[in-house]
Amino acid sequence: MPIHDVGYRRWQGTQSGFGTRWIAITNKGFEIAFRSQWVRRMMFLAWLPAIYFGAALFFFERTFENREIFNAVAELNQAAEMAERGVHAAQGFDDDDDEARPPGAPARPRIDLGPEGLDTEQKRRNATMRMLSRTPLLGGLVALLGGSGSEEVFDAIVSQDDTKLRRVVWSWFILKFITTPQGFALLLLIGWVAPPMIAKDLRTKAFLLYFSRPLSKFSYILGKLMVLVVMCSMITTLPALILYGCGIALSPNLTPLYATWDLPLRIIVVGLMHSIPASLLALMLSAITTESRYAMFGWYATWTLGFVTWRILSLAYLSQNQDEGGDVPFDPLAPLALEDGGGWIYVSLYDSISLVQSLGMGVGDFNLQAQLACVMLPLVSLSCFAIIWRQLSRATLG
Amino acid sequence: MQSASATRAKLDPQFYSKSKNDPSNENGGAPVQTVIDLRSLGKRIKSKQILSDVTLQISNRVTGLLGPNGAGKSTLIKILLGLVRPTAGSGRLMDLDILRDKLKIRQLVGYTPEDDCYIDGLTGIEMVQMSGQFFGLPGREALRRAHEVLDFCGIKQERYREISGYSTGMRQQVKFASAIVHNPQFLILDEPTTGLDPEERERLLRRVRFLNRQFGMGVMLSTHILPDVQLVCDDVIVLAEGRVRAHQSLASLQNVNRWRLQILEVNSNISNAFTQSLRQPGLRVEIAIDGSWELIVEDESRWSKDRVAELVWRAAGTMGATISCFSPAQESLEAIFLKAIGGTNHAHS
Repeated sequence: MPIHDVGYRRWQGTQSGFGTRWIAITNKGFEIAFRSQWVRRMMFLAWLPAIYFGAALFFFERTFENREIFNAVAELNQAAEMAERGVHAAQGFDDDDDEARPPGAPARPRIDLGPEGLDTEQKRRNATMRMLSRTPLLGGLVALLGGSGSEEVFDAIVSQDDTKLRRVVWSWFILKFITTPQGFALLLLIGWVAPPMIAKDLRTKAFLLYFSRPLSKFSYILGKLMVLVVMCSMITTLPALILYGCGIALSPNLTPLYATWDLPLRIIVVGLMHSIPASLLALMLSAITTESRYAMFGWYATWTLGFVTWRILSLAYLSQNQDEGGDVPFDPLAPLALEDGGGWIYVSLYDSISLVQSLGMGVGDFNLQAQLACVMLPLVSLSCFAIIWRQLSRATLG
Repeated sequence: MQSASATRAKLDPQFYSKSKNDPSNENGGAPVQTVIDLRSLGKRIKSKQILSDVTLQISNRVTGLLGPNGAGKSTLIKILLGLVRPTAGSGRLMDLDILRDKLKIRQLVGYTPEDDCYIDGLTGIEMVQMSGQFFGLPGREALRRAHEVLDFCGIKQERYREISGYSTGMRQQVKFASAIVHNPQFLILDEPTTGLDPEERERLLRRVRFLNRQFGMGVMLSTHILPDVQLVCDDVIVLAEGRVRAHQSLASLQNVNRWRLQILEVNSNISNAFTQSLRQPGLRVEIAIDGSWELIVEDESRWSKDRVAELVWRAAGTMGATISCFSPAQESLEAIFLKAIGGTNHAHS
């Protein structure tokens, strides 16, 4: 009840510019989302993996300080390489000659030392990684990096370049943190928060209240998008930055900072690479229906079907490759590296985003898969934006 | 400093209903001026012509926009707000181009949509505050202002409840509060009294009138409800089939130079003589069903109000008839409306 009803009075204050009106939508959207107990719980749970990754990073730095294991790996590799060259020389086979061979000239037969048909370099790598995985402190890290990450770590260890090794490990480490547990948490959270965001406005005809105010369609979409982007950042970018900050703060000296100074910026960019296309997709699904449950179903179906389909297609590709005598080993139970799969990555939004994120962290290769993923993400984002725009225009006209 | 009359108006609800014909109180002292200027506006959607050649000048008084369903009222409003682009013509609202300055126009205009719309998940106070923020009010100031306008609109503790649980009438009040939160210069109300009970309806219309009279806020009231128009409007626009059928002040629309005359205790001789004496060039006499006379002025240059009165008094004096009633016979708004739309549609009265 008003203490003193002053009636209607003129208001003459300073108004903000048109460009900042979307902030009201973001603030209110955020407030509404956080009223849900489930969202608060999910946000809390989404931070738990950071503890595991924080501990793993700490153990890596401890091992790095001792260095014996890395030196041993490098020396072992060097010895194995020399032994291999010795065997080759004894059989009258010059590796340097082979490397200097002009293009198009027939290759001399290589000596196959392995029963599985792998070349010796691959065997050395595998043996080294197996050894690392048995090391108490690094075992978790190697298992975590899995697939393609281990290759780069191996190269960095062998090169005995501390800066490179630290940089590669930290980059892969943070990338895995963002893409795996946080990526999953992000899917769950957006799937819960986003579906009603536009669907409810369409159902309650709230767009008439929005667009009869000095608010453009772009501001509306931006306001809604920022709710999701900020939420995604809170469970991906922010913990990753804190993880990085803690890593640096717990380091005995400033060497890690020198080796990884650009990672914070990369973390922010990588976070946006995930949150923007995913949020636009979620908003698009919300804009095409007035029933938020359909949008929610569409969201989970899109990610799950894409994820499963890509894995089936990749395995089929690898199997075919093996049958045709290719040198890629086929192991249906092995974790799939992102660059496998014969260019089908665009069917899985999750894997496309992960691949582009690895490029963003500076650890991936810009191969065909990566090129496809780089084309696909902006395409998906723009298409979703166009559909949302169209739906809003239609609703306003109606 | 606010004027004494404005202060009194805040404290005295009776002041809301001050006579609309009081010129000293008209438009808060603001001169009557053209706010909306539309030139040959047209809108076609596919093969259907929604609006054709709409040319209008609307002032900062209270203007009623009347028309049957599908007349193009809502489309016209959406065009004014820049939500729909016209296919022909041009227009200006407060000297701003309706095609180019959409956001600037919406900044100056308050609008309540016809539909039962609300932002789900918000309380009444939050919705008005958010609306204020859309108009550029800073967050805290928007909240303060939201409380102020909700007080003005008579929403009390219910403002803290979620709006999804409101009745249609309460939502209308909150929509109205959202539209005036930023002190607009022009108010567009699309069916604002739908869902309101008679008491609430009257209060809302009083507020509309008050805002116009005390603060010079121009108002366009789109409605089906003719008594609403009669109660608050100064001007009336009748739209039918996308065309403007009538656009005049309510007073001039109703004033058709017709006088109603009743006399007492008259026998047929006196009656005939009386009728004969009233029959003059430029003046027509008709006898209505209830037995009263109607004098219709056909030549306004010859027959002013005073001259007609003089003629009537002289005839009555000569015949010895007693006049019980002599007053202007106004045409009802419903009759005007039906005439304007060509009798093809019916208004809800």
